[in-house]
Amino acid sequence: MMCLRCDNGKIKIRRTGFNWICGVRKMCVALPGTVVKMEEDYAIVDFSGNTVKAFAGFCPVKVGSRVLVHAGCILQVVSQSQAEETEAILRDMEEMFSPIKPSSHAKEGVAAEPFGEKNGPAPFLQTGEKDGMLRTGGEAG
Amino acid sequence: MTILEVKDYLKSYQGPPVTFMEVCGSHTGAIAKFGIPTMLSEQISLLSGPGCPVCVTPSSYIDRLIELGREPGNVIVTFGDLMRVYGSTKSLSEVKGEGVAVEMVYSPLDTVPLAKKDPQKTFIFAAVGFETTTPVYAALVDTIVREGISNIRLLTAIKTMPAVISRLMERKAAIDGFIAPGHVSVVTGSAVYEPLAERFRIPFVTAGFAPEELLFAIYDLVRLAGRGIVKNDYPSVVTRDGNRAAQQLVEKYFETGDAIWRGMGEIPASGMVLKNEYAYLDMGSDKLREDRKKNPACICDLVLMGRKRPGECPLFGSACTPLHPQGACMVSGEGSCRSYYTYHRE
Repeated sequence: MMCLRCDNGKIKIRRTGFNWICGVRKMCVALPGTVVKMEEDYAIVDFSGNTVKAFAGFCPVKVGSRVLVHAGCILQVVSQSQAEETEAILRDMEEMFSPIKPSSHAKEGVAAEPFGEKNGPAPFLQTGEKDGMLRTGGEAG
Repeated sequence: MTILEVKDYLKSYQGPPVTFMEVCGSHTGAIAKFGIPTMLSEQISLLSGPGCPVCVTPSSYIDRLIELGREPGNVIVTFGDLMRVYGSTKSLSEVKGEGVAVEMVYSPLDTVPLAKKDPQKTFIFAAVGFETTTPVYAALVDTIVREGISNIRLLTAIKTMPAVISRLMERKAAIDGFIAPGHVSVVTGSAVYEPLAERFRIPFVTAGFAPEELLFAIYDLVRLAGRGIVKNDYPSVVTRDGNRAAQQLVEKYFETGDAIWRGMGEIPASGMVLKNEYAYLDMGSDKLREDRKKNPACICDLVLMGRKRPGECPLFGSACTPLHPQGACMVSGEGSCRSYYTYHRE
């Protein structure tokens, strides 16, 4: 099975909506993952079941560290809560970019209307206001 | 200050009109995704800047990659994002269909096992990106040098943020503050924006990618407008000094150089090039001066500089769509046009 976003067939891929994507290829977005094994200058980092080998020469990491990985390189060690938050955001963005969704700008297809007065607020505004702090979509409460 | 108060403040803001620019493709995507502009008063405008690496890479760079790929024994190694970006006539994706050897990898460091497996071929990595990616290229060069690998080369088009921000402001862009890029700042540190803030008397706020973080950053920018202050609203991962180990490895192999930006021409000291002693690894990056549009009507250049919005392009959404991109900004998920198109950002 090939990744539909980047034609990558070498990394494990997973289903997102109607598309199969690898979920780890981003040019400029550092993704959070968990170090599961150390191999000299490299670490094996797990991303929700996908593992990659990442260069670990720029940060002090150990097994269990939550890390930001960019293009196969660990750039920062982050806290568990920060990692989960970033993961949720990037998952949303991944769904945004992987299928080519038609918008009302397009001549073809059905219009995808933005959030606003007509369609109500964005999902993250619909939930999680109990404590005065908003949460990202699907993670309220 | 709670996020609800911030939201109310931004929606009801009636002060002087202000315009802020985000210079990170991932911020552009997140702002569109979460409908941030719809949560702001009409007095607050957001613009996308030159933050998408493949969008700012000139056409001659793609042309050179294709030329190199056509030479027998060469293999072009690249990130997936670059595949569909057009040079003056073709993209890597198109020429791959014509038999040119192109390998896509997750990391530049994946080039090493490829090169070791096939020592008869020369593997040329398409090294584009900003400060976030440069340390990975430095790690690749370090591996090449330490292990004496002779069949890996680089074609570089590495850019740096401060110089292009400086160029925008020197050209009198009507920008009252910048949402500073999140992960570029992980490497550089937030201090890199301090000279710019002071010189142009505008605020810089580093921000994460969550909607709350973006709203807080915009709130801070509104409050700090007119003042040369840098504020770090992403302290969980960004420090003032950045990742020193990464900076040191970059300094070992690269030095500051002039760079050509798509649609903006040459900007002095806005790129990183291999140092002289490692120039033998370069495949002619310094000769790439030309930048031609595939479609003359494309206004990617003006979009990148924040002078026009994607919707003002005559091709946007008709001749130019993610399936049939005419300009680089519609190709990458980090491109302004792609983001505006996908999420109907106005």
